[in-house]
Amino acid sequence: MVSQKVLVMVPAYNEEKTVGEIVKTTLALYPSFKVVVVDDGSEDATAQKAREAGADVVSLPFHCGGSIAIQTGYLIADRQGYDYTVKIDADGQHRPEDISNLLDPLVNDGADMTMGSRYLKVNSENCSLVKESGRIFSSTLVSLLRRMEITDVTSGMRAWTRKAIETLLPMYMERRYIEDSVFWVVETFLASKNGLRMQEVPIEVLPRRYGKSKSYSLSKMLIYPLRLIITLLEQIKG
Amino acid sequence: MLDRYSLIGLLFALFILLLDFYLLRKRKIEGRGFVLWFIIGAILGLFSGVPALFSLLTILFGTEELISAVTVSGFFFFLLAFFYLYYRISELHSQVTKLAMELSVAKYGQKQGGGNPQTFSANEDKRRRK
Repeated sequence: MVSQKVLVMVPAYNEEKTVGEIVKTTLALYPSFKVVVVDDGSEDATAQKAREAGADVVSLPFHCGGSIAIQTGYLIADRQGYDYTVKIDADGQHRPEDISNLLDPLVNDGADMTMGSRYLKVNSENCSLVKESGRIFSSTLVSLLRRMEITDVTSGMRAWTRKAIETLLPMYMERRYIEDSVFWVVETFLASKNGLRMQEVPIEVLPRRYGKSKSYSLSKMLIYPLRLIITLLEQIKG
Repeated sequence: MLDRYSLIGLLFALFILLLDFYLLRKRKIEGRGFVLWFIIGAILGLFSGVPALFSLLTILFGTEELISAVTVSGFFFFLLAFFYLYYRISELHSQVTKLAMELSVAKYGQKQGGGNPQTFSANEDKRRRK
């Protein structure tokens, strides 16, 4: 399908139970793609399992947070000149089978960035009420502010062209640390502001098989609306 | 009519809030820090502007004695120092995480190619793109 260089980045923190399977499935489906696991200072055998499954591993020296792990993936894509970069989660919630759906608009429709949306697909996992409210709130805000229709602005399964990475990376490097909870919202906002063409693609999101999500907690959820509004105001100003 | 301490408290709260907004605008503080200091500034302003609230608290905690000027100035100094340290730590955190990112990518590049690891900085990137 894609004859160009494709990087699949898998940021991972303490995901030894699932990362191996994700890497193996991805490599089995797309043998020509390079799979790089960004190990975000895991305390378990995540790096070892990923290596055994056939991935390259980039290890951050300590736990830096999801947004830094993702930016590390961008840096690798930029340095090594990948034509397309895809990001999937290491916890098994994203299906490697959906990678081709994400790449298709980049290769054939001239999109610069694609975002997986569980809400464009029927029978996908139903989120908790709190998560769902956060998703609706942030998607509506971004859609209104940027005058575009987005159903899942918080989606972490995304793909970028080289142009998109080259546009976004310098902005991240110049900015201060972006909190994990608002990273995808900031990115969508920045991409839209810089004229990158974005497209949503239906994906299936599976329930987490092991452990708890690291991105959501009650305290984070309570302060999320305020944090989101401030972040968006910051982006509008800048 | 506001007494001396209330006026100082109000001015100090205003200073904290203005500094907080200024740092956010200049992108020198992240959203979380802004929220924290906004709440601290607002509470301080509220207690200074409506001293009756403070009196309620002192009765509640059983500290009805008058707070001395030394204690009040110590409290303001502590708050200011806390603000400064918070800002510095958050700035250093940002720099350290970016350094960690550079380091891990450089190590990866070295392992792969055996060549000189490249470094990336915003300024270097600007030059490269020119």
